[in-house]
Amino acid sequence: MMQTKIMQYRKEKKVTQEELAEAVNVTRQTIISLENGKYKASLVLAHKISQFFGVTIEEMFLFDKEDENL
Amino acid sequence: MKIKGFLCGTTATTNEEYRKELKRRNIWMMVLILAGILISGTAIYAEQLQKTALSEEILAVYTGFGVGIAVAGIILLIKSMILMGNEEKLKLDRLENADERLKEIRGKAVHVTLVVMLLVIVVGGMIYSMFEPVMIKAMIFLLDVIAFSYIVAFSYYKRKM
Repeated sequence: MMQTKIMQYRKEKKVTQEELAEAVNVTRQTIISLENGKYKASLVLAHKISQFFGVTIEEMFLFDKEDENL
Repeated sequence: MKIKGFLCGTTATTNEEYRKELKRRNIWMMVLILAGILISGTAIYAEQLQKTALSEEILAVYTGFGVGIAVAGIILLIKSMILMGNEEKLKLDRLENADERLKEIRGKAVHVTLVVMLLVIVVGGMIYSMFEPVMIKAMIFLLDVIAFSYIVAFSYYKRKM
């Protein structure tokens, strides 16, 4: 599972899942899966989402150092 | 030949780009419809006018296959035209085709399907070849084709990525 701060930033900026999905060219279901930690975003999608909220990838996506062998 | 956009997803980020892609896809749909008509038409023509010795079963397979392809092409063409006339539906379809998660799911589904197909070919082929010896040749041919296409595809992507 990969934890993200998508929901937190989305609520802070009052952005709906649908609006975010459209902005980064994915379906709403993918945003739900990302928020639930069920799906790991590709580097491109992670970059697009982070850029949308004006933060870095590290701030948006919380890497588990043990899971990812970091 | 650019197959991308016909069988796979899209990289279009706007409805306008996706509409152009659908227009290109529609040409492929028309080719599909034409192929279907040609296959079933040739089978019927060969049987009725040329008196070719086609068994009822083979004729039904050829005709059914041709009609199936043509109908699939017509349905996809109609779907594409409906999408092009509705901005909201077009957007939803574009996002579904561009979505990286769905692309990954499709890839995994194809992988599982291939494993099942290989099992069915090997197990089914070995059992059935006890009654029909020609089946073992068909099985080996299919396995060779699968192995060959895997090697070609692997080498291609190894160079590309």
